[in-house]
Amino acid sequence: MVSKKKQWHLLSSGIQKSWWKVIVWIGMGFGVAACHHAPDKKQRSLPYSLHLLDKNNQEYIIGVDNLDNGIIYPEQITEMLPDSISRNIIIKDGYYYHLRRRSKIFTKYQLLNGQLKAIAAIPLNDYGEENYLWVGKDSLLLSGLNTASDAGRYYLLNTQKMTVIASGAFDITRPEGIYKSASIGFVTKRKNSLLVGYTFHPAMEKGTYTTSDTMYIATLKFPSMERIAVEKEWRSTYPGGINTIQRNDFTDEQGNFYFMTCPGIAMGHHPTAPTAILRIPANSTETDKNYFFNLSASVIHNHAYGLWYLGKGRALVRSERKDLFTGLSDHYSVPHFEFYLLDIEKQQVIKKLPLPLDKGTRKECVLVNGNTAYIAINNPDSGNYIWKYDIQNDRLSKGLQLSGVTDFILRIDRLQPGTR
Amino acid sequence: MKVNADLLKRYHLNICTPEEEQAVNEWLFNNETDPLILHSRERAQSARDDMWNDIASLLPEADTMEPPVQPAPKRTATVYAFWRGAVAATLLLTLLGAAYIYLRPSADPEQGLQAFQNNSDSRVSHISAQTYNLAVGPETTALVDAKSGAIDLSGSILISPKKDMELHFEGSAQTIRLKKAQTYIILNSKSGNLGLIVVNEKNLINLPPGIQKKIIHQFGI
Repeated sequence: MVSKKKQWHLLSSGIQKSWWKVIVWIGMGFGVAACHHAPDKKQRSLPYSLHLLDKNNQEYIIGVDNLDNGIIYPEQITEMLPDSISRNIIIKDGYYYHLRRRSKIFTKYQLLNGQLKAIAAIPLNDYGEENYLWVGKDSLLLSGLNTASDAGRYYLLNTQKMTVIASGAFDITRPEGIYKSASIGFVTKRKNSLLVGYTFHPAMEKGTYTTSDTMYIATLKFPSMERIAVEKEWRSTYPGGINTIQRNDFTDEQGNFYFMTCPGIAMGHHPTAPTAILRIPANSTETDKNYFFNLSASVIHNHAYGLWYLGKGRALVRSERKDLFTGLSDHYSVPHFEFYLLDIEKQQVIKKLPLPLDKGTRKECVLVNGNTAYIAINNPDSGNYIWKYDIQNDRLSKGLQLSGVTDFILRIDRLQPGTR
Repeated sequence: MKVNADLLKRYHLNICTPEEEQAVNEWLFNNETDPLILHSRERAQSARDDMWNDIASLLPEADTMEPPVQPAPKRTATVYAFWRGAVAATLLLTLLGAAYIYLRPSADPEQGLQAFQNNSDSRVSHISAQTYNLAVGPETTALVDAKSGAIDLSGSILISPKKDMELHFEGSAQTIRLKKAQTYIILNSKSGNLGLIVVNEKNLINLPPGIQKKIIHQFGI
């Protein structure tokens, strides 16, 4: 291939030799100018971000103008990412943040000319990411585990300067006896404290992996991270999940915190426990013993992963269909996920949304914007679409189509604040 | 640098030089390298002799085993002798089987049945054949029939075929198709609650987070 420099040189010498080539050159100039004004090349902030995966497991990150209509071929507007960024992305105010699993380098990126460009990075030693929480405009609390996954660790970062404000041990109880590792499933902040949901796992050996039948909710002082109390909860297990990959909790308008347990085979692998929603009231640091929304015992009759709040006491849950997959080998590739509308206060399933079955074990595939819930669906028969659910009028319609190489829409995020 | 069994051993013991480590890493991730000869014919012969000596040393022991201190009733003694013989025979058959399986690949490494056993509780052993690269996880036994593609696996393996492959697993009617130059994680156990799991390394993220961590830690991926 001829380099750009060489092309330029050839072009320049060509102009000196024959005048008609000047016309071609000017024409090309217009062409370049036209390209410069193509939407994907514009130096402006796009309101939404999509994270896609193609059939060869290559990833794409694209900024988009709207989710309501149109068709996008990702390969035409961006290049695939050089390395896998493995889905655990945090997106806020036009920036992307990602912890590289092996090197433990936490990098801040910006989308420039359609490409993700690293602009700053800091190393986070002995840290495996489990959960994130913005505790201020530029203050990011990363809560996770050490490399051995048996002790809590945290990093409080200033993401504007990309510096560590504080870091250290996250004072949760450690696994004992047969339990060798932990999972932190949610972290939420009250005025001067943090509520941390977690559970333990026995060593994975002889083809067995599971989770303890007990989960814990620790109250830690913030920002000192000292333990104040630990509550044990047996009604279900595996609280929440890894929220950089998929949400399983929310806080309602009154400040009540809700989290879903995920004991299904794709998360806790303790399938005899029910998938359920629990509540920690705004004025309490413990679970409400009168509230237990058992989804597995409802008409859903399955386990679920992924819970999103729509506002006004309604939520969407993404539940699996155990009759359609055979096990963990095809859990992600077979379309089997359904979306149910929930009445959180009454602990009732309102209805199943009439959407095509979705594929992908864990995806951040719902984005709520005012009265609209955007739901990204990947179905090999009906295509890859962002569906629009009108919450108030209970109406579903197709929005933006993702075509070309798209196989999975892994994430749908608000890239800029205050986006309508 | 030539990668050999000795270098691999030192690699797993973390006692090789940075240059050697780099050579092993390059070899592990390069599909174009020559198949590794783990044991020379001389070493195979000596291993064979050692194994026969072991078997031979066991046989007289079984015959000259001390009788029980308390004289046992005659019937019990007969039963005891029967079981003693049975145990010895089973032991002999097992050792002969092991010897066969161990020695067969060295005679014809690309044909027939190959057995890979990793008894370590933490280390991974790496094997390179003409048609695939294989990493055998800790506490794993894999019997691979290279001709039919049938695998009897207990434990975890990471396999990277050098050409498209079809595999069948003991206890599963499913045919698993693996594409060349891709890496697959395969877990199987006759006990336990996981059953057979086959996923492309790139789809590791879809497994439960706890299983992901274990596999990442085990295979250093």
